[in-house]
Amino acid sequence: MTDLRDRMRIYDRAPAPDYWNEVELRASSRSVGAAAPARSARPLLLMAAAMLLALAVGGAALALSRLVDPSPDSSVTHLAYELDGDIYLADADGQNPVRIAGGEPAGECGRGLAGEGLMWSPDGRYVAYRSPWDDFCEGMVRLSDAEGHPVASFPGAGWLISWSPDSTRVATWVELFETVGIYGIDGARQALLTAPPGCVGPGDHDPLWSPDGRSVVAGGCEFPIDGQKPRRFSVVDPRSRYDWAYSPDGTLVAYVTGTEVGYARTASLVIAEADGTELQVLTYQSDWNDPTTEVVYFDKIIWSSLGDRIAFRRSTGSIDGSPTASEVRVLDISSGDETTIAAEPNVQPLAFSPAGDSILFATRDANWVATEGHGLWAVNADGSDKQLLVPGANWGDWQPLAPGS
Amino acid sequence: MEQAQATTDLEAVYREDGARLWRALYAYSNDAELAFDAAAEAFAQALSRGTAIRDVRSWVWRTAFRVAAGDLKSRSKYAYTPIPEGVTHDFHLDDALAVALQGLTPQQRLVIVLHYYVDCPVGEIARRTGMNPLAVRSHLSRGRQRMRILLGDDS
Repeated sequence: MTDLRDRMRIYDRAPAPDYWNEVELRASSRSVGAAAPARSARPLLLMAAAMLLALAVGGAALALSRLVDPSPDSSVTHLAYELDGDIYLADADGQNPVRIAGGEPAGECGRGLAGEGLMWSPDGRYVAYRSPWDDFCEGMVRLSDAEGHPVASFPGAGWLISWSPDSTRVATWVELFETVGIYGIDGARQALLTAPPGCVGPGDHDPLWSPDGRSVVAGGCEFPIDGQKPRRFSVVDPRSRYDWAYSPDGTLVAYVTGTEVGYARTASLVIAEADGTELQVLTYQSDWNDPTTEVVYFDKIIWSSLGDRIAFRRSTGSIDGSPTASEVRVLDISSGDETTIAAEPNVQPLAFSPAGDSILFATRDANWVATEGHGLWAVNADGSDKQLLVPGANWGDWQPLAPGS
Repeated sequence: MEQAQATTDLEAVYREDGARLWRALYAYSNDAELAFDAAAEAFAQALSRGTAIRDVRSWVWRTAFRVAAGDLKSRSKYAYTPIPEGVTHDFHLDDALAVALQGLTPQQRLVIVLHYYVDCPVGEIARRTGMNPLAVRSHLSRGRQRMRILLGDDS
């Protein structure tokens, strides 16, 4: 959109004021312990904002201050998380953090590491995270061991990093939506799998390992690891959908489906055999009440390690798709009981504890900013004992198993 | 000594970025007063913190937009505050552009302003906003699509 760039040059002509005197006035007032001078129109609000900002951007030391005494269930041993572009390992409750990566000067793609998806390998021995990437520069996937020592790095784009079920390999896009790289723990590329035209569906998909470790799936396209030609799943296969997740034993798939009848939309959370048979609707939500201004949808499905519960996000938003409210719900598959464990402008379930009794989730305010009271949280699966573990953190994952356990 | 150096460094950032930051905030908020407030507050906080800030430029930009976002959030509705009376200028807002920017989500508007006005690449936007670079790409892509529609440019 060259035109947009040109058009925005109009703001170059806006007469910017010189506000350095105001800067010094405000700073000096604070340095002598006096109340901050009133900001021109909204002093109270802006003072509050300043306090929030101190929490939001104050760095690791501030973020690590504990507001409570969190206590996720005893099956959790360690937490990996991303805060302010750095990667940390800490105790399960966020205490005793150690920065294992980050703090480096900006590279070609800028600065800041990111963790998304399940950062820990299934055996709990390694942590995976990413350096930045964009249209013009190549990002890297990095692996560290459970003590935080660097193990390997290799090129990779995309969002979620997918571990093979046996924890020996990682799948990532090499060329976004075109080629998948399979890398070993040593960082060596074991395979480069190319998608035929049209195989990968639209949307921001990442490669996801099949439970048997023989293939990865991305955007409805299955890439056999042995190099056979990738194939597209049929439209009735739940793995051709956008939001879906294998059960821990790989026998079931949970997925989201939506229907439209007239002006109304219905979102459903369904489980089925991996091929789409034997489907069972677990829960659904319709927006009959105000279908012209609000939509309801489900996404971000995660299974408990025992396969007896599913956590997912339920969002409502405007007709253009902008979410206005979201909550994390936990659904007991056998009873169908549904519990809302968190409700925030932006909230996302991240992981169950190994025992399945606690859930890790992340929150943001309506502007997607980790202002005060937002960050990484733990809560019991029944919604009780919600605890803020790491204020301001963007993403985290609990270690599935302690090495050697 | 270190504090003095930090102040000198911050003044240098102000000289280089102060006006541009205000203009970016103005594009973001459509409010000259709010832009002034947010920019001054960010620099003042940076000045108070001295050497505690690792990357002053990114910190100031990030903080200024967070202050601005918080202010906008507090309003009952998006409002336009003109350049104060008495300021001599030949600036006339592109109303269609301003209205289109209003039609974006705050995050989309932020990345669109930083990318198309401040000329920041994705990595730099992530650094200046504290967003995940992946999220920046997503907001940029959706914001771009929305701007095309709002500006009547579907090509």
